[in-house]
Amino acid sequence: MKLSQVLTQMQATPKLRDHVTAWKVTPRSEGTFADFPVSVDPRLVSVLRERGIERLFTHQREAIEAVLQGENVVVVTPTASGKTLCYNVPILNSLLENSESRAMYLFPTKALSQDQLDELHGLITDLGVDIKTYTYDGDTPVNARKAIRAAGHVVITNPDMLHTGILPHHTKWVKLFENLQYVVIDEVHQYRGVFGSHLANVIRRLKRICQWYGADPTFVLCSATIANPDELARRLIEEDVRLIDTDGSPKGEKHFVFYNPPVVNKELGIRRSSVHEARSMARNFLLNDVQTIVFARRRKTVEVLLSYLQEDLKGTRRGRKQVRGYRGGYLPQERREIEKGLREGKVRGVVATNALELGIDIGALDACVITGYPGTITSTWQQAGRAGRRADVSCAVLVASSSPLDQYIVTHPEYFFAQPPEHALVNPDNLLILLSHIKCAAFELPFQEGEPYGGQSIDQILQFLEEQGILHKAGDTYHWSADAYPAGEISLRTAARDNFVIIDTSGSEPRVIGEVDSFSAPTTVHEDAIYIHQGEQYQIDTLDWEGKKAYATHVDVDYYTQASLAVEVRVIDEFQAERIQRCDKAHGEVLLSALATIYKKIKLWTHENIGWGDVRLPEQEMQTTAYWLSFPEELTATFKASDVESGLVGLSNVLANVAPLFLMCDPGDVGVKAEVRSPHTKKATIFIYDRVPAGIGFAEKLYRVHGQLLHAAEQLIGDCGCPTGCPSCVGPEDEIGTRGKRNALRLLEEARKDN
Amino acid sequence: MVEDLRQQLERLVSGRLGTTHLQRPERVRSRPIEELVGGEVREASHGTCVVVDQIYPAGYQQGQVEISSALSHRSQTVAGIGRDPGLEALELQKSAFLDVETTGLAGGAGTYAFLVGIGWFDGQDFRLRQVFMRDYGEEPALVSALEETLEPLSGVVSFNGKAFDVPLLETRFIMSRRRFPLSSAPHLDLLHMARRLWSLRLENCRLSSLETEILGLERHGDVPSHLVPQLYFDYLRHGRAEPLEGVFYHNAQDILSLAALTALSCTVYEDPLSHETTCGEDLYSLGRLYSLAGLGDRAEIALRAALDAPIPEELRWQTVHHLSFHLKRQGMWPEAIELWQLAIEENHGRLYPFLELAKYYEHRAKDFQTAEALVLRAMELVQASAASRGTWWTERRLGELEHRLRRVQLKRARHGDGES
Repeated sequence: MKLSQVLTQMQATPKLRDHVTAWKVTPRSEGTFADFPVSVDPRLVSVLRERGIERLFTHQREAIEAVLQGENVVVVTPTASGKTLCYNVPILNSLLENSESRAMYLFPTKALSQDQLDELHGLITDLGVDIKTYTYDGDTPVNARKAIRAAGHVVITNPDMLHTGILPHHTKWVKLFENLQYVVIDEVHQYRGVFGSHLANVIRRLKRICQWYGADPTFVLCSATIANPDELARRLIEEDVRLIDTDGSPKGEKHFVFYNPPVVNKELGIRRSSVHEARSMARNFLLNDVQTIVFARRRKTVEVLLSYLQEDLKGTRRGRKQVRGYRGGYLPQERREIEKGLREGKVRGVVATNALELGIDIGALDACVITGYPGTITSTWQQAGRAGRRADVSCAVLVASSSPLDQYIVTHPEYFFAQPPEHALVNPDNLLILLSHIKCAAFELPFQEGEPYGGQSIDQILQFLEEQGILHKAGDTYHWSADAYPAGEISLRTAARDNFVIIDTSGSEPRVIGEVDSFSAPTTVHEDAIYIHQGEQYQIDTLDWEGKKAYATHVDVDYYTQASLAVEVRVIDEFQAERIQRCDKAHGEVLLSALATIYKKIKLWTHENIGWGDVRLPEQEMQTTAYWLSFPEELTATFKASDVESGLVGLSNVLANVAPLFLMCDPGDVGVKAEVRSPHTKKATIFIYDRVPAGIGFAEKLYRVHGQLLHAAEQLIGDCGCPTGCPSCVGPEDEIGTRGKRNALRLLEEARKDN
Repeated sequence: MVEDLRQQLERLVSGRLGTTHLQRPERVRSRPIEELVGGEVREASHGTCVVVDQIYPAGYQQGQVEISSALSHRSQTVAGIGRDPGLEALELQKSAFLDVETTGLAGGAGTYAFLVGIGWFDGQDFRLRQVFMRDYGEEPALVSALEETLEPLSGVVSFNGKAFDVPLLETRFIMSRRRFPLSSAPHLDLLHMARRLWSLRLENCRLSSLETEILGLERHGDVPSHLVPQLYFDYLRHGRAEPLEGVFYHNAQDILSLAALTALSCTVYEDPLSHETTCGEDLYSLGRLYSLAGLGDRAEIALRAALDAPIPEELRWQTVHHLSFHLKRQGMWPEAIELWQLAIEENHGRLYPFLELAKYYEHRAKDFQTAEALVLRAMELVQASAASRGTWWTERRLGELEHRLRRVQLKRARHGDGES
């Protein structure tokens, strides 16, 4: 059956239709075209024409012309709008004109670099010219590196490699840096938070090196739709950028369906599981041979959904293997094989985490099922964009979970469709990150006294590093003066540098089946944890904490495990504080200690709790930033002590869930902690902390939107139909008591009264 | 505001980076480094640096080796020990014996060479120049002093210099906006040579091990390499110069040993039996080197000498193996057969002598009966070792042997036993 027929059928099914809160149809659009600019080499034009590209989309033309004139641009267009031509055309054109010219492409992952290499190779082969294009990353063989450094016209790499492998060794790349004309940064929306703040500093270092060699490259950036692409681009490269955001590509008809699963327990406000509902949506598509991608928020959900769907398709013509899983932790060759299968149509369905949100080429699919609101508007559009062909009908279904944020979005679809997507926040001057990169920069080139870095004087920091014995001042110049390689000690991605590997010991030879970062290790690979890989279950037998290895054996059980974290927050420094109406808001630096305490065994199909065990692993510490609001004594004095507690816990649950509305972050990127009497404020306090080390600006942003945040929380609790609290608002009754909902609401009302 | 940033930095550093807060460095009173090491401050267009010049006259011995004997060897010898025909262009008379002392081993633009030693032959004399920067600001002067010293030289001899010293100097030159003049010059890296020649005998091929074991040299007052960066940092921060004396000594000794090792290895290579090369390991290594260089006669001499010398059992059989193939290639069949038979009689478990003999009897002697018997024995041997070698290996070998067996049997049936 064709997708359009499946959709008609869905609309005619009452038990489905009744729970649809929005069904938006975007009609087919024709696209707007323009000719190639006359300055583009005719050889290049004819190669593109042979590939069926007769004319450009208007946004491509605008970008190509601007880049050829040396203007920095940021191109913002959806998936499959031909953005790679926006940089490949001007860059190949310049290389045809001047073979001394050089370009560098930065992609956030090695997989994307590989895709790009294939595409460029294709064009260059057709052109029949000698333009050397290479990927340069951790996988590049050592004996090939020398040739690449000397002769590569286009070097495709990632920020991590630029940071640890290229910039510190810039003297081996003289040819590149002397002639660097273009720097392409794709998937710019990925560079937010910690990663983006690091990247901005890597770019500062890159520009510093270029300047030393006398080059002044033009930057071409591409981004998915976010609220502030030009601002983000400007913060990343610290130069003026021209924004190009009018999409000229044609689009097929597109359906976007919001689905809220039916309530199964009115008192508790419990809805049917989004996982089960997503499963039946996806099953319906797949049984009708509609190629489908299913997104889930957590890797665990991916694996559970994958086993459900494979079960459902057992015995069909294409069998269970027509559906595959895809998430971080899978090995690269496994991923490549799945991507290829999707492009060729052999793989009919894939269950993925946001690992597939990136521009990895899997072709366009017909349908997309999103299990639970992905946390940001940007992410939702990105995931939905995976379904969408230029000519045919496509469809995306968002299946809401019972979580407050999901309920807010699914019951206020107008908020989603009218709201511009989130702002991507970066903080390149986060002191920890800044300090790290100043060290790297000093290693690369000595600093002159008074030399600005990131547009500001850093003399104080240089002096500090000299006192630490890391730099040495000779005359007016600070030199790196330590037996160390600073870039090797700084990871751009996480605070935790070293990943844990999971080793399957069931076979005749031990084999690595995946990896997890060390901050999540205590909750995912503790002893007796069930680790799921490609639908297969493994039980962790021993965890070698020092050696960062988890040894597992293959098992077949009907449960998964979930560990709880006990968190403690200590305030180190209060940056700003203010009384707003009747409560106090503040933000500052905090020290977080997290200890995995117990794990629960949860039955696969029913989600019952069927047992538990202790986790005994070292506490993890992290310095970060937090926003907190506290209720003065005169306000809480009107409450019974137990009411303060249940109100606080209830309110903190709601706040944790609405905060991401104002931050471009995944729901797990902030944490919340309620304290009846905080040692720091001496008052009842709720902390919302940044889960990334040293903080990335979430705390300050929440401080600024404090009023809106409390308003959204009040709206959510007030609009929820449950009598005494449910997981969709303040949390279930057994966690917060029968008066929790009322207390949370009262706290809010009191706090928001004007004095 | 100033104090604020300070506090934040200190908190970050103490909390997260694990470094302790350091007091402002105190300068100690010390004699100037140039006096301590007998050098002078040289003024150049790019500033000042310290230069130490020494001459080691003709006849100077490093350990038991007279270093100027390096000059008496043919260029093919150097190419032979270096396993690189390009080294025929290396003139030892015009080469820089090079060693650098650095602020670290990591490499990259932030690793400095604070002391660079260059040795070269001036007639039969050996001259040694050490260039030192008293602070990072003297690097441009150090670079130009090096440039001037290297100007008349056209080759490089080093120990691990291909991977370390030369790339590092290239970087230092670029950082001073100059070009290292010997980047594409012929370069003999003695680390690779030493590994080929002596690794079977020595526990490791570090320069210090080579000095004690090969050159018969004891160092006094030396500084262990891993302490070198810290001694320099201490000098920069506190002005403590005395401990650096040991670094200068260390550097000078390294360079003298480069010359001595070059001389010794050339001598050994040119005549394997001349020197006290009496141990089987060295003779075997030499034999391998000769045969890779296509010097069959010398390979044979060395390998035969290895069999007569004290040699570990396992290496003895490797020597037999290589020697027998060498003899086979030379068409010296009786000698080769003798070794294969010896290997069969004395050394159970190796397959090659059966195969080689089988081939010989099948193709040369046309004695198909003996050939068949040998193939059958080889098959027994393969089956016997199946458990330890694994199925893949066993099946492959058996397949080959069966094929050979069928062919031999066919020939035997066609021609009768043996050709007469």
